[in-house]
Amino acid sequence: MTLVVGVDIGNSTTEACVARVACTREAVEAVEVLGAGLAPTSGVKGTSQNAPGVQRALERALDAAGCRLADVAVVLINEATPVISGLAMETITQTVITESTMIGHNPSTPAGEGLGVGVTVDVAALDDPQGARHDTPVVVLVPAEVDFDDAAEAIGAALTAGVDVAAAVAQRDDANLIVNRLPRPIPVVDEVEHLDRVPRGMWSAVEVAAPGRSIRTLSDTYGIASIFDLDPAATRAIAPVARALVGTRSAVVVRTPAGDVIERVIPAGSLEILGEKRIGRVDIDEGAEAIMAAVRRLAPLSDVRGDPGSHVGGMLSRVRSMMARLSDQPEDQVAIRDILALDTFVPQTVVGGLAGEVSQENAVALAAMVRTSHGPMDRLAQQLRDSLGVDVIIEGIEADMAVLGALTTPGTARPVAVLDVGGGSTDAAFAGGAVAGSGGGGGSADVHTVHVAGAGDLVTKLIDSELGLDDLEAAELVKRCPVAKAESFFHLRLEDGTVSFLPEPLPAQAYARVVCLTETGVVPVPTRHGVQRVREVRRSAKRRVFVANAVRALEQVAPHGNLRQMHFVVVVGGSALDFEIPELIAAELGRSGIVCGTGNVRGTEGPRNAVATGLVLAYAREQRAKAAS
Amino acid sequence: MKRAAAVVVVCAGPTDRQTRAVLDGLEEEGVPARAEAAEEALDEAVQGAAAGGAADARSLAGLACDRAAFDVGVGIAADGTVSLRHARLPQDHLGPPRLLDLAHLRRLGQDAGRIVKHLPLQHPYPAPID
Repeated sequence: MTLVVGVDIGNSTTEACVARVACTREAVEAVEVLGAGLAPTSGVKGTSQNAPGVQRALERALDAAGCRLADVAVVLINEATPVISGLAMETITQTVITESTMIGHNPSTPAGEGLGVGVTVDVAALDDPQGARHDTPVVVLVPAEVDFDDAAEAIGAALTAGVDVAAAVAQRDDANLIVNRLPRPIPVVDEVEHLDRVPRGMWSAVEVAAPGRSIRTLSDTYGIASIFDLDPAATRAIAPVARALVGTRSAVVVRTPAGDVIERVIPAGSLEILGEKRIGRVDIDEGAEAIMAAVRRLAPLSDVRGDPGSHVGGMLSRVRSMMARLSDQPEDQVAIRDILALDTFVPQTVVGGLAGEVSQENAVALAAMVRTSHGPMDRLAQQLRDSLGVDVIIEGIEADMAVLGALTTPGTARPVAVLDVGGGSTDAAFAGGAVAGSGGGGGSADVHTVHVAGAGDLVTKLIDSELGLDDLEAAELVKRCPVAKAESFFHLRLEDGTVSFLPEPLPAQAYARVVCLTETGVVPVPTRHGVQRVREVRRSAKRRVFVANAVRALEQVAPHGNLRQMHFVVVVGGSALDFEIPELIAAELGRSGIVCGTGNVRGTEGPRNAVATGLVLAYAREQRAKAAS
Repeated sequence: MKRAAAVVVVCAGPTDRQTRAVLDGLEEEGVPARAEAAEEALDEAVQGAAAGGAADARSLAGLACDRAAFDVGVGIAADGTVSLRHARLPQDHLGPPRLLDLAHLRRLGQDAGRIVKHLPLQHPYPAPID
């Protein structure tokens, strides 16, 4: 009997599996697993920085098994997949307001109701007999330094004096306070941060809809054209303004000679995709679908480059230098072997906006995968040998080990595909046919593997930008946990509509917010989006990354590229622990008639520990083969 | 009949400006509110319900939320300390009594209104981005 430990160093987690292996020829139940343990990976995987993480995982597994390091005969580490991945995101459109139109500004408490059209005039100029023209209606501008009492008094006096005050625009959150103090209500839009940028003496229109409704006139192109008496050319120019105002409760449009809203397309450049046989070129503007079609056509890739000086060039060089730093290679030797491009959007402050308006800009996200050199593995093994005082063997290729480990899931059989969904990349391995006898040493001859870029980290990034969180930790929580709405201090409405009552009242900062249901309690999400929107963004990000990559990776390893030739797919890896990723993948693959489920390594470990278990099994098989010969 | 006040502000002593600021915040949120002098409120309150008639901000707020239709109350003590409370929540759950400037008092009034309207509070949590 020999005590062996299999250690799998992953992108984010290092796992260990302690087992007793019998080397006799007769023993059928030759491997007895005693315990498992895991620890966060230290440093970039496949480098000597991994040693502390390996040691911690090893200690935890030995603790679980009740064994001592001194009794261990050999530590097996895997030939780590020499891939690491990086991310970049770049917006490709930009909304610019050339003059003073307000779009997408939705203050929570506008006041009054209806449409007011007039010439803009400062509240201070109202009592000035020259300032307030009695023959034209006016729209009063109330800056922050004017108290609402004074503003209401001035507007009230003007109304009484016969000035046609049609509407008002306030800088502070004062709309209701002003309107409540007027002899008759007028529409007032407030919280306009850059009131000073509104030109004075210009025709403008202010519209506030009744509670629960949205504006009707300013969100309609001909509505604006009628108010300002526009010609067809000017009407065409104002159309984007109307479009941008659809669905808001209040709006201000100022007619300026050159007022316009432009959605500018930022020249993003093009990608040069170097296949091993051919070279292709795609414009980023064509969108993610076109890029991925080119990647599929040209695969396998030898490198991907971007136009220097363009946005995409910048993105790829950022990824390249990051990878060079991580993998300790010169930058010109870093070759990008796969990319995953995704269409996404990023909320950004509108250039030239008056109230800090935000518009959803289109963006492209790229995950790139880079191959690293094999060198450091031997160094790591030597370092472990020295620090542990135990023999360390680099046992086998990660994918082969994953297959061996995944096959310990009850109900699986060859031909099987193993999908390893992790933090940085998604790996697929396909093992065809039945393994012949005891020989074969792991059967690597018929295991096909592929690594594709994009996994958990990319999902986090998408959630972060699409919900406008600007907080990767919050995005990580949104990815990992279901959300709920704190409907009162005492109960939550979960995303499936059920209600959960709380033993303790919620803290004030969680009240009425969307919250994440973490293992340790509720954590408010810093967003104004509702529960359904958060859920939708989360699931769509997972679908676009994990489901797309599962199909992409499996197609590359499937016999003749045909998914239907695969009978069993076992999902393993850290992201397989997610509460919805396995079901999203299974639902998609189920349509091709594939049996797909989450791995349950050795019937006990769930999707964890597949490679570590595989290492031990491969070692045992080798020993048995040796004993037999 | 008077429109029921969703939020009641009970104030002791010469605190007109503070009370006004809190009421302004409630008005901007469109939440019906009413201010009452401490003596009046204490007189009307059931004997013993008002913490022995103490006039600190915390017990004035307790008195206020008992008298509000939506269980939310603000107490302002004679020294200007202010406390926001909800009848069903432990005292200080919405923050301890404190001295605030007029701008923050208005914000506190808005938050009192936002509790009634089931909207996230602006304070102490930073304003939501969007």
